[in-house]
Amino acid sequence: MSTLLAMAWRNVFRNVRRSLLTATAMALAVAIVMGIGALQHGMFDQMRDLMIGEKLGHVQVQHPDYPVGRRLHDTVPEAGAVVEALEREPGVARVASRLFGSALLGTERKTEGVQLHGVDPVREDALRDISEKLTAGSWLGEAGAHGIVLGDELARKLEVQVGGELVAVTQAADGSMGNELYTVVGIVDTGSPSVDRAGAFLHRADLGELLVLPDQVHEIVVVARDHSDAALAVALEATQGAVGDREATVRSWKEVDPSTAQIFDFQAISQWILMFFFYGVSGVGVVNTLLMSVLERTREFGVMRAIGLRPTGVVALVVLEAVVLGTFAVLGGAVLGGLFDLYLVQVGVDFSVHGEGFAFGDLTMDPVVHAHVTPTNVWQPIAGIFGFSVLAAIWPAVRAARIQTIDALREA
Amino acid sequence: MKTVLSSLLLLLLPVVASAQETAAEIEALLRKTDDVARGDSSIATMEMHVKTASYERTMKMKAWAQGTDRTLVRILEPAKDAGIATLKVDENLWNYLPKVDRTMKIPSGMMGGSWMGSHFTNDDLVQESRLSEDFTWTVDARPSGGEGQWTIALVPKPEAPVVWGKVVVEIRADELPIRTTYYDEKGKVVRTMAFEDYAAMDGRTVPRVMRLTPADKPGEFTEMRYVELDFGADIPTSTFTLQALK
Amino acid sequence: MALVTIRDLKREYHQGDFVVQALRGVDLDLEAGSFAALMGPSGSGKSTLLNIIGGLDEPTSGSVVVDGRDLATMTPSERADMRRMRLGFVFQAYNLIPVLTAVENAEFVLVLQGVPPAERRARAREALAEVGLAGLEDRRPNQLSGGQQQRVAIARAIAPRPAIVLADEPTANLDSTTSHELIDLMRSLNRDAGVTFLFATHDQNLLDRVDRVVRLVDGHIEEDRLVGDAVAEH
Ligand SMILES: Nc1ncnc2c1ncn2[C@@H]1O[C@H](COP(=O)(O)OP(=O)(O)OP(=O)(O)O)[C@@H](O)[C@H]1O
Ligand SMILES: [Mg+2]
Repeated sequence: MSTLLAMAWRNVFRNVRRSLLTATAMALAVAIVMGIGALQHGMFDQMRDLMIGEKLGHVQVQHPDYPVGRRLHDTVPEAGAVVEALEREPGVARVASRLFGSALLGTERKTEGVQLHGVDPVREDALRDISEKLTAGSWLGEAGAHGIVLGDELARKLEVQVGGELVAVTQAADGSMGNELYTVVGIVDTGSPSVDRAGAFLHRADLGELLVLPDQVHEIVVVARDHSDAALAVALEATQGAVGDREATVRSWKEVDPSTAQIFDFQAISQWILMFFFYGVSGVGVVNTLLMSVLERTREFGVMRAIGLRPTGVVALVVLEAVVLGTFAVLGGAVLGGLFDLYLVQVGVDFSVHGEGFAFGDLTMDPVVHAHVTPTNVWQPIAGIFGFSVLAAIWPAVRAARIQTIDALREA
Repeated sequence: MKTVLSSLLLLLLPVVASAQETAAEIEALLRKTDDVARGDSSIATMEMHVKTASYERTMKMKAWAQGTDRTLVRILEPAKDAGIATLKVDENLWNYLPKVDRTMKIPSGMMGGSWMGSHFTNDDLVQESRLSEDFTWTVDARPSGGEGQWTIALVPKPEAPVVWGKVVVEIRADELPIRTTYYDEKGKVVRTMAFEDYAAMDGRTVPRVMRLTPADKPGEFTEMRYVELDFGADIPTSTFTLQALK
Repeated sequence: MALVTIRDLKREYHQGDFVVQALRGVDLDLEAGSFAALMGPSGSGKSTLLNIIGGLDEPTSGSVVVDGRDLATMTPSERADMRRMRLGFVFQAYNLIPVLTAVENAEFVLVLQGVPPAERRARAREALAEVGLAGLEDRRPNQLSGGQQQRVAIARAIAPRPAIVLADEPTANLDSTTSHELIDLMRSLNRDAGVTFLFATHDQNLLDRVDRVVRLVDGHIEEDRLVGDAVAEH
């Protein structure tokens, strides 16, 4: 075996140019799949973070009628207890509860119809890092302070700055005209156009007072430990447990937004397509290289067969050549891909069109996408290209084993 | 052949004549319907009763009107909402909120929203369209000899600022309104306004109760009842300003 | 019993509608320790006969018994095993594996036999020394002359101590001096180490040195005689 390996090794270096060319192509394939895969991962991560963070969470709890009618009265019963129970669950990373209401918000000069998001400031910030998305001012503070954080576009339309005062008027749950004065404490760019354009955040207790819905919650949002299906299942089960037989529906974000869930399913498919395209191309390269080399060595195989090498030995030799070639290619590819990944992580790729972020559904993505390198992202192209090249070697190997000894010997 | 045709024309003549007579009559009727409970100016005290799936409440309010262009409504009861006022000048609408001592203009995009938690929209308050001007009508029924009622179907003229597909008004033989039914573009009933409790107020007979029933929310309605109605009062124009709103 | 026993051996090749009768009934016995040559005009069937004895080709009819085993009863892989364990081959040229050094080429068959590394390396070095290539163990074939390459081929053939070395025109590509040296080498391997050789050759130098010449014409044995010293010994 070691002699065969030595032979395979030296055979690979026999035609340095050809082997180098093939190995380089394979290495590039590894690097490209690594880089593009990580970039795509980064992009979908960002999309997922936006999706999960800004909108859906992994799991949502709502009154059964709330998703359809979004009526003020359809609140989650005993939401406080549910949230507390969820915070004790190990399979739950974050929990936040939200109260919503539409209102007129404005100054004497400008008024806009807005969606008010009543949130638990600390939990909401932990969930979606909203304080990092502030473009001015600070995030919400204590209840009763009547602070309000505006979407940046809304702030622009209302012509207010941090420190400005706004009146909110809404029809409260009891039918009265809820109205209150709020002070703008912050301005935020969430990346969700609908929120940035017509969204305002305030303390859930403050909104509860305005809407005459004290301690009420329209939505509990649960974030799982990670974006995997397994973590989702755990979080879903934990949430169902915490909700118990209270009158509330528990839905995964995939149920809430199936069309977006499909986009993420498509990610997996497109990754596979990308991978198999490059694996296929590199496999074809290997077949070509080995076939050429095998046909050139007909006489050599004849001699080896004549002096007693079995056909399986011939197959082993050619496959070993692919292993050697693949090892070099993949090592080179890993280095190249590592550099590529490093660049894509550090610098990223600017997908902006005229400086604008690109839209994904009703969310706006950061125009510069940074790669996210996962272990899978690294080993999959390495194993894939290597595996495919070894697999691809089987054809030329069998061709070599089928060479008729005396015919080969007659060829001098 | 010619004789047959001319005799047909002769037969048709009286019909056309009577239809023309009716046109002026109908337009006057519609004008009167437009202006029911409205004079050159009026001061009214009203109770508004709102029933929705989630709450039921009664508000007392006072309204000052000058023609159709200027209206001021101020809430008197309940205490929580007392002092809240709505001012309409032409197509503009402002709300005054005493609790925060602020006036807010209703943006044009919010005109379809509920007014004071009722089934009336802000749009209903600024409603500029008039049955007598913005619609083409057909008479489906007419009273005869003091019996029966008018049923007039109205379709908005092409450029009229009207959201309805069709409006059907029913009017008593004595020209007081019975009911107005609003349809959408697809011919589906959207809401019904019923008039009741006809009584003399400040020398005029008016329906004291208007009940608005949305078709898509069974069990819900808003009922407006005149407690007092004073026509022809001399209201200074300064009443209808933002300063006066406060 | 003879090392090689051939009876009424026929070999036909079908080339389209033609039938080429490469061997038309050959009878031959070859004793262990022989130093014999097949000669004859081109196309007379020398290589065919040698290939059949080596289990590389199969007869159309007749029997071939090599080293006590009837080749007709053996499967291709059994014949491969026999070649590896019992036979040595030397071809006209390009005998060696280009990527292996002289000593690696010499030990290649031992590797296939599964001889432990230390032992096979020693035996390969010994064989190289026997063919006079001591010191050139680590040269690659392209760093060796034609004669040296043939010597490595002989070393590879004799290292496993085969029952017989089949050599098809081993000297054909060599100049006459080199050819002489190679013949001397094989002659002495035969005399001193008892290696059995069967050649197919046109080379008069080699024919002059063998003990027995079998002359093939048109696929049958025209003449089979002992020559040189062998005649005297008889
Ligand atoms: N595979 C084959 N297919 C068809 N004919 C063949 C085949 N192998 C050998 N022959 C024919 O059989 C005959 C004998 O060939 P062989 O190679 O044994 O001759 P040879 O004596 O070795 O000749 P040379 O001295 O030229 O090497 C020739 O006519 C040759 O053309
Ligand atoms: Mg020959």
